[in-house]
Amino acid sequence: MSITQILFWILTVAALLSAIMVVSSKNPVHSVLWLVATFFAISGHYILLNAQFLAVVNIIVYAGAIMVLFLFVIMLMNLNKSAEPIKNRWLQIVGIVSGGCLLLVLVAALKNTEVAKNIAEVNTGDAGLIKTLGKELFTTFVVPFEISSILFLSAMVGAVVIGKKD
Amino acid sequence: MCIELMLNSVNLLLVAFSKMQAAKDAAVTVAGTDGQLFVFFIMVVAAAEVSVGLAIIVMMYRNIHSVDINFLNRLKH
Repeated sequence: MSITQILFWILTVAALLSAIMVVSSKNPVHSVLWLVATFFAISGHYILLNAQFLAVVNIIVYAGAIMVLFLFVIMLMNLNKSAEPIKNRWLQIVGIVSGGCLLLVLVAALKNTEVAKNIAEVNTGDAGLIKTLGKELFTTFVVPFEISSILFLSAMVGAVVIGKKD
Repeated sequence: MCIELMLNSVNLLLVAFSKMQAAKDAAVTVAGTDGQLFVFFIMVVAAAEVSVGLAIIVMMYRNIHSVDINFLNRLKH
């Protein structure tokens, strides 16, 4: 077993474990912290796949910006036990059943697939380097890039307008 | 937060598939970059969505002092 495989399995176990902890932990602050752990594990996967740009962006944008936003909002409204909403029991049952149905469909669809002939190779290729990605981004994908900047601007204005004291 | 989790799983899949495509036609130098740029755009949309969604939650908490969405049935009456 090479060192890459060992790293892959460690990262996979960490990502799955922390993702389960995100969903199952009662305290929302703990949930956010487990989500940060998940993002670090997924960034490790990106590095293993030689997508360094996405790994760095994942840490900066997700673990840095979005999770801090989540933490601020959760700490802003001090959620305690008494403010916890009463959950509908039927809603939980329906959720379990529909999730089980989705799992069943996915397992049934993936059961007969043969192992792919194309393998995602680790440590090779320069598709994930900043140079190639930047060249593509500013030549082929320049229009979606500009549109996404407008989307960001509108989201910013919308957040300010919604969050403003009326 | 579960939305973030799901978006991240899709991102990981897209990166893996872009690596598969890059391994398949290695002659093309830009093979696989479009998948990774799609991941980048997914991150952009997720950031915008999170900012607006958290603003809505803060406004709701300020108005009704709770985050229980079952209170939000005023349109029904």
